[in-house]
Amino acid sequence: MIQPDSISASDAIWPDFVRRQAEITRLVLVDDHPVVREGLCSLLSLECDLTIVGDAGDIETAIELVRHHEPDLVICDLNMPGCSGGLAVRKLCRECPNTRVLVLTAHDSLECIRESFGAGAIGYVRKDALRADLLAAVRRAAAGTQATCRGVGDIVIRSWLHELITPQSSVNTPLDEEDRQILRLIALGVPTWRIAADLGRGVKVVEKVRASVMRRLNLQSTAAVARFAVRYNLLSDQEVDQLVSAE
Amino acid sequence: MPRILIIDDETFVREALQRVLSSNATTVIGAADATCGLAALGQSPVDLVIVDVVLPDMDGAAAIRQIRRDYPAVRIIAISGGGNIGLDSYRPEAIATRALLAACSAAGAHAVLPKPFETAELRAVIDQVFSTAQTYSV
Repeated sequence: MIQPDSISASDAIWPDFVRRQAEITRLVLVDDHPVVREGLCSLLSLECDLTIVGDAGDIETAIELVRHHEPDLVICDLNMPGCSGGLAVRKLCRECPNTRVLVLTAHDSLECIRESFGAGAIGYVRKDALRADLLAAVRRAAAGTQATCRGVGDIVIRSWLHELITPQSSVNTPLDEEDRQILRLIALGVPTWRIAADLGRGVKVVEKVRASVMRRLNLQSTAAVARFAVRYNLLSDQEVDQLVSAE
Repeated sequence: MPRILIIDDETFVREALQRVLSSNATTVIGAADATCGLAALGQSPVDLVIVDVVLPDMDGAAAIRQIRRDYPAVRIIAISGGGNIGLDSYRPEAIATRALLAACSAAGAHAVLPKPFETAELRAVIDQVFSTAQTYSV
């Protein structure tokens, strides 16, 4: 029989073993539908390792909350009032660089997925995903690993395979420095004559390059060029802000 | 004679529910949005409200809170297929559907039911909410 006296403070069976404390993941939830926020808070609060420290219906409030609470993860919808697409994610990632952002959205186009990850999101989950998929993605993303729900990977792979077999339609078509400069200025709404003057080129040359690049990239309008420029980081943060405020 | 109010902006769903639940012993009335539903409730009392979560004028959780506050004896069943948030058809297992119904449970619904459902499932839930005061969660 083991005597209690014989048990010392260092008598652990595995002396070096230290039990890890249960880690609580602190979340901020951003969605412009109050009923969706309320419901997601209810569902996520059922998990003992997750806690909601705040929720917001617009991106400015979200940024304030994130600065105040410094959560492990922000779950963010893509379409917010006055801040749609990847811009909400971009703003959050820029203003709060230490916070990870998981997109939770009803959209599942490749463009949305690409914009989200390009803007700095660590994960992408569709609103029609199963609850278990969302929980798994939340835990992976909070731990610093890229996370998606079922279906998102299929979309990305299908697109990648499509680009492999039709390389001429790829947005990866090489752009030289002049192409990039011209795209950037088109995105900012600079008229052709001014672009020509800024770059020291003739108006005809700029028009030709402009038409050629837009055709190669399948961009049909100035708005499409602007989206492309944001997505592929051709613009500075100040220039992105300038575009957003002009919308 | 039990009276049931259906609040759902989907005409097909509203009419189908009215058709299957109406009988000699049960009166069923319909409303296409929360405002009409709350007005109908104010005009004549009902025993049960079956309310969709995503409505054109007010979300179902807000409507449920108002009904629970003003008509505490009325039983409430919330129904949803995921809502008008970009999903193109009912997704009963989707996180969006579960979240919407969880919000309704939190708001005081006595039971929740994801769309689509069979008549027998609905009847069973109706029996449950009339036989017990228990709140069901998703």
